[in-house]
Amino acid sequence: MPRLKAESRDAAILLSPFFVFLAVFMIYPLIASFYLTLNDIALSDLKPVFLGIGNYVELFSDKLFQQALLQTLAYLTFHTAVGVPFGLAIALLFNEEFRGRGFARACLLIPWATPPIVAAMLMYILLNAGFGPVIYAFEIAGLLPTQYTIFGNPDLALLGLAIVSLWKSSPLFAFIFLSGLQNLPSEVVESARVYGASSVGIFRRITLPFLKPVLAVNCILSGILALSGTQAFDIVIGITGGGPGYRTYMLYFLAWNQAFPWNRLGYGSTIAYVVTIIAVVFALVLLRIWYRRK
Amino acid sequence: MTSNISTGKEKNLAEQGTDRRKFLKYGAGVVVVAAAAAAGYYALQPAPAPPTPTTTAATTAATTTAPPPVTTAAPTTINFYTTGHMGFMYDVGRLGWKPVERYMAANPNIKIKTMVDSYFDVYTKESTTFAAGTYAWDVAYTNGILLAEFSVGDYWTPLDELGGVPPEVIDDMVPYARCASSYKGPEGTLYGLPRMYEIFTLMANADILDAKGIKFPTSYEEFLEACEKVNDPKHGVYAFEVGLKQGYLLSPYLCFLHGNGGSLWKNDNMQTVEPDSPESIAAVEDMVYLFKNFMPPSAIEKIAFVEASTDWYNGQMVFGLFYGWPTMVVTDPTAKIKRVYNWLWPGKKKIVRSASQTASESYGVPRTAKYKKEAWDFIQYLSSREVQVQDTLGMFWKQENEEPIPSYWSYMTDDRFKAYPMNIILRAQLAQSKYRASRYDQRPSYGAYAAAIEAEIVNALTEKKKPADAMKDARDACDKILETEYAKYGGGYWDPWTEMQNLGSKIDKLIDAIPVEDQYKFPF
Repeated sequence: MPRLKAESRDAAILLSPFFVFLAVFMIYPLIASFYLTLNDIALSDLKPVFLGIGNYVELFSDKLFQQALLQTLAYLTFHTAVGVPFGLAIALLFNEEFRGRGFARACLLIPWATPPIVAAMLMYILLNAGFGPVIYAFEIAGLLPTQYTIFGNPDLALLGLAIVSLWKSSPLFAFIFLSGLQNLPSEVVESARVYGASSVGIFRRITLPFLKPVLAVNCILSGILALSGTQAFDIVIGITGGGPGYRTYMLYFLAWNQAFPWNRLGYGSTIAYVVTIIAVVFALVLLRIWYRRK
Repeated sequence: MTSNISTGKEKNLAEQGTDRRKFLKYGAGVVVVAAAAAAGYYALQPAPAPPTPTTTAATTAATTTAPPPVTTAAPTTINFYTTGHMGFMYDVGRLGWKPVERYMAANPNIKIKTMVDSYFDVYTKESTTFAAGTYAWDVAYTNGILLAEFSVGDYWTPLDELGGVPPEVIDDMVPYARCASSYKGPEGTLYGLPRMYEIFTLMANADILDAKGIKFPTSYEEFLEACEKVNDPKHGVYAFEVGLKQGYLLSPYLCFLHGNGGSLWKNDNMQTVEPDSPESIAAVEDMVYLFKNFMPPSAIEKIAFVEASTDWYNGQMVFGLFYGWPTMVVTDPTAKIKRVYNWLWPGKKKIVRSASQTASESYGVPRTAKYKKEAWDFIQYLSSREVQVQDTLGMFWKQENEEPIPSYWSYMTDDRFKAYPMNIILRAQLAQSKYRASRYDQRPSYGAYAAAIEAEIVNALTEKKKPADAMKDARDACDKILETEYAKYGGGYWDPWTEMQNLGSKIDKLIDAIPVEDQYKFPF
């Protein structure tokens, strides 16, 4: 028993920096921002006026919040429903033996390794209707009309952002899948082949069930990235600034706008809290589905 | 259980416990020694000098001339926070004239530590720093928006507390610049000394206009006629361009609004923001018409003239609406535009000639500054004739740059401005100042108003809504913002336009003092 006590004390000492970090940078901001959600407060004077749940009630009548919520959910759905399978497809491809695979895998990391705001600016320049070389190349090839605008088109801008976001996230999903694929026992696959299973059959009956935990992780990650990660802010502010109109406003971007440029720290914090709640619910639902199936 | 691979010996739990304790013991020792060393280091640093109360009137900004003033301060490092679009600061201008280095050379005891951020990052950085209440800067950049929001919270030091600005210097400031450095009312407290001033004007590719025998338009109707004649999208030449992307759209919109005889504020107690006025709807209709007929489709993706200016440089746009500096394109031998006309943005039916929201930036001293006396000396230097004139002379063709005209009347007629194209820029800026402009950004909720109005203008431009419906929605959004703003801050915002109207003859004299060739002279 004394030995255990000593070990517990050691563990507590060794873990204490982590708990201090957690308390200062996670728990305190979480509590402080919750306090902000109950107040009308602006950075310009920091005089809180207690509103109770007033900020939460306002959300129900705030059309911009509702639009941003719908757009965020659409973005999240696309990001997960298309991005995760796309990441899986890349992983399956890169799991095969081919010449230059190592180099190709290294290249695959580039979009993910690029800082989000740099990626956003890069895409903004490449795909700009006025001076973007990609759009210009399509124009020359006769595939697009002159000065075709993606991010200035209200019907295309959100989709454009989602595709940019996929370009950035899919490699991450692919690498996570790849780590799962490399743990796939080759004997099982070989046995299936010996018994005449087709590639599709192997994928459906062996590979996919084996990857389910990784799939769940990727789906949760995708949801968090699309809701509150860099994809939900940097790409929006770097490419469209929320426009055209309000067509690419997303909750995280709206929360920042309310808190800072629009000088409503309390209301902005409330929106950020809603984002957090959605992220948690999304993760819980996915985990529940996963464990129930298991 | 851990195994010691190198020796093959396995340690028992007691030994491992001893190891951990040793590690903790020595680790703690290292931390204590490091902390003591750090504490000792900081204890030996000289304590910052307390802010010196200033009781005498400071030297006037208007009369400060080169060389930089020599101060007798104790060795001090001033933290100076500014934006990245001021090329003159960092030797990217043609003249390579660096005022900060010059100031340090003249004041060996003063070291200026300059911190630079993008214009678009300054707001967040200042708001969070001020709200945190910590010391970060002794001198910080400000403009109308930052001034309004942060003087409400008493984050800026009023200049009266630093020594005050003599009345003759205040009189010498362009009212729009003074407005951007103060909060509420012509007699409002000054929190900063202006470093610049500028206003939107109409620029035209003179080569194209002259080749087609078209006169520079002096009314909106003439402008449309000229656009019809010069527009040639098949050859990649568009009659008109201004960036229409949200983020900097309010200023060009205000040109159209004022050009239709409107105003963003109602003249009532609350100074109600009314983007759904008939003049405002007409303004948006004009913008939609120009966008559909005479502008490149890509304009919807470009922020202000900065991004549209590639077409200007390439000779692919005829008319442009922006601050004066793109006129400097003619000084770049590689540009495909060799001569520029620069004069007034014409209003409709010759009723008014209108202007944009004016731009003015200042430097102020945050409340949390450590070296206020030194900071005050430095901002007077930055606002001095020599710095402002050199700033304007540093104007050159570079998209990301922004070198404006001086913010004091007496600096405008400096002899160094009397050559083309500087002279036509100065004359146009002065002439445009005679007509309806604004400084709406002095309201604490300006950012929210601007976002709401700009988003709805873009909805109209992209035909998602009719202009009247879009601006009605903008009004609804503005009413909500106004309600909160008025409850918190009240009204009483100053529109310097009233004061500007009394300065017509003074401006005329200044214009007359700047010589220009006949071909660049246009009627008022």
